[in-house]
Amino acid sequence: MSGQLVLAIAISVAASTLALATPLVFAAIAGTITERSGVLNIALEGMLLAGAFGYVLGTLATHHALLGIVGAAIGALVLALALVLLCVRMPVDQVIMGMAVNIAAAGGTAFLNRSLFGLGGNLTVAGIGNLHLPVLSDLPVVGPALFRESPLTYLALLMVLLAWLFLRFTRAGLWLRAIGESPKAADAAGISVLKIRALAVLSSGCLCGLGGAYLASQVQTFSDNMTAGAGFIALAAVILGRWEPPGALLACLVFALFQSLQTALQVAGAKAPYQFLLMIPYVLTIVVLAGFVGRTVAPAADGKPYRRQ
Amino acid sequence: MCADMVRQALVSRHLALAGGLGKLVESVGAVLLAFVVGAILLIAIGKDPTEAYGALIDGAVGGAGALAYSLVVATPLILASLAVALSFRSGFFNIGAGGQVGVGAIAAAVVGGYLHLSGPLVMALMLVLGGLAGAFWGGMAGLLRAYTGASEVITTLMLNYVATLLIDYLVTGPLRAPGPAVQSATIPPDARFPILLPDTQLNATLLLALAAVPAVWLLLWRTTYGFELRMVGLNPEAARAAGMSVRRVASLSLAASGFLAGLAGAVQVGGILGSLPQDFSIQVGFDAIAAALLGANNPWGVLVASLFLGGLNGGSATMEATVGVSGPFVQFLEAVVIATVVAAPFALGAIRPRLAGWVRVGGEVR
Repeated sequence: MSGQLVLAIAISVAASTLALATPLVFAAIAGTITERSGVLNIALEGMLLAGAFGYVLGTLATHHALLGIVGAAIGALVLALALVLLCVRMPVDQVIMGMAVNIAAAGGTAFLNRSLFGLGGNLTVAGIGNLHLPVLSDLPVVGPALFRESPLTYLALLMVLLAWLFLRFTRAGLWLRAIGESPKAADAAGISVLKIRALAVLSSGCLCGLGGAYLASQVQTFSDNMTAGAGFIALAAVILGRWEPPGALLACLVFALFQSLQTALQVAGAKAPYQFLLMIPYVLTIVVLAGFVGRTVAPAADGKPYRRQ
Repeated sequence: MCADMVRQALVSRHLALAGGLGKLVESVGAVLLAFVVGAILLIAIGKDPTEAYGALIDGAVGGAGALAYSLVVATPLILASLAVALSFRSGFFNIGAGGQVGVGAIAAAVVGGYLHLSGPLVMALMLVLGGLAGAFWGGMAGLLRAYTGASEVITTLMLNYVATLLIDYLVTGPLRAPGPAVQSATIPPDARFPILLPDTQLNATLLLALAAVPAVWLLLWRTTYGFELRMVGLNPEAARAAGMSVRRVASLSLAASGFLAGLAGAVQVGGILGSLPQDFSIQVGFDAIAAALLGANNPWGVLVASLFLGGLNGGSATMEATVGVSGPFVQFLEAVVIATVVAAPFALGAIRPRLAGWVRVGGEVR
């Protein structure tokens, strides 16, 4: 292969890695925040899906992609609200409720999609154009590789920074971490455990809504189950990122790189079994959870409902 | 003394019945609520709920063909729901039964499509190896939970995706059969499970699924192992203090759960599909969560719930064809059922003190 071709492939792999990472990053930040507050959020997948559907509905209704994003946030927030009512307000198993939300989202969006728009699948809505960052996008090599993405991609990266700053340097972030480690002690100190958990879940809904909006805006349509496990990859990224936003970002980028390489390999006609490349995030999560490679420690109260005595 | 014991036995029996009654009321209530929520959704998008539900019922039980199809859908669901219920009883949650269904399906597809055997031998092999493949998949999560503390919820979920990707690799690669359809080799007719009702897909695996119900009941309530499993599920600390091995229960219950789910996969391939297609669905693993909870994790309750949900899923095709309400609507109903069944004790707990004054049955049973 000529050097120029290799460079072109490298640029396209880098650009598509950022693109593929975007929904993962939104969902992984959402998962990090909720899990740090002590709510194990299995429902990221469902919220992404509801966000994607909300984007399509919002854009269709208003003909504005920006309002489509609002629709996406509303779609995911409906599910987040259900999660708050079911497993923050009530001391009910978070895993089962999360799965219920996922199943409701998969069934509900597919049902509404087919009922409202038919099975044909020729529905198209407005997308969100890529943003060419001034000056940076004109740089050779790195310009087309990194600085010509959807505005939502840059928003996702900004969210990583904001979430990190929030968790580490703000009083509310300290409260949130405290209730994720020892809700009883935090409660005794006068912090409202349920209120902060509710806010954490609702903000995870907003973030997943943005992730879903990105997915739908890229393909400009909705199809049944279009998230295809992205929410669970994000869940894996939360764990591999050790419940820290920068770690989650790194994990998402690595996963996205695998996906991007997989596509590049297929396009290049390589006969390599790409499925094994796609398995890596899931297998890696199991390996890390089992402590074979580096130990991870979840927030102490992660997944445990809180009930005032 | 003797009279005391009899009285005690009677009291506990009465309490168990009252508890069972309470669960039954909860489950029926959850289903009714799901239908009401569903009706609101249908009205919101301009569909007539009575028409839709009418078509759903017609598709589920209207005539021999419809009934047979509902039973066909229910067959793997019964096995998968028993798998989930067993794991829920042990307190170790098998959320990824679908992945075990997937590897069970792979094993059955290999045995049925490539070993060139026929008759009862190959059918038995499909079931045994399908079950063992599922047991391996679930047991892996169980062993990891037992010896490393890795959450079985996350590992079984992740293994779902590993299984579907494995299927994708196998049927596009080493197991790809010649021909336009992306699937494994077709299982020859004399290696498929015998059909019970001519002109339908209803086959002998239904009898296997039905037999699994008392088998799981016996395992849970009439063996030492089942007793340990239930005790660990109720209170792991107390079980450990009583000398039971929580690790053993975690690994074995998830392996046993995986075995049942693997059987479900073998049943789907050997009894219904006849080969492993690229788009093999592991949705039954999620439907099973709804059926297990709806059946209060009791094998007989799970049977009734699986037949019911099998009917809904089986009838949804008719509903889609006649009134244009698409199949995934049933999934949405299932989710409402899950949420209601799980939340009901707590939601009712808030109003129970007020109710207790005039309703005496079942108040302090659970």
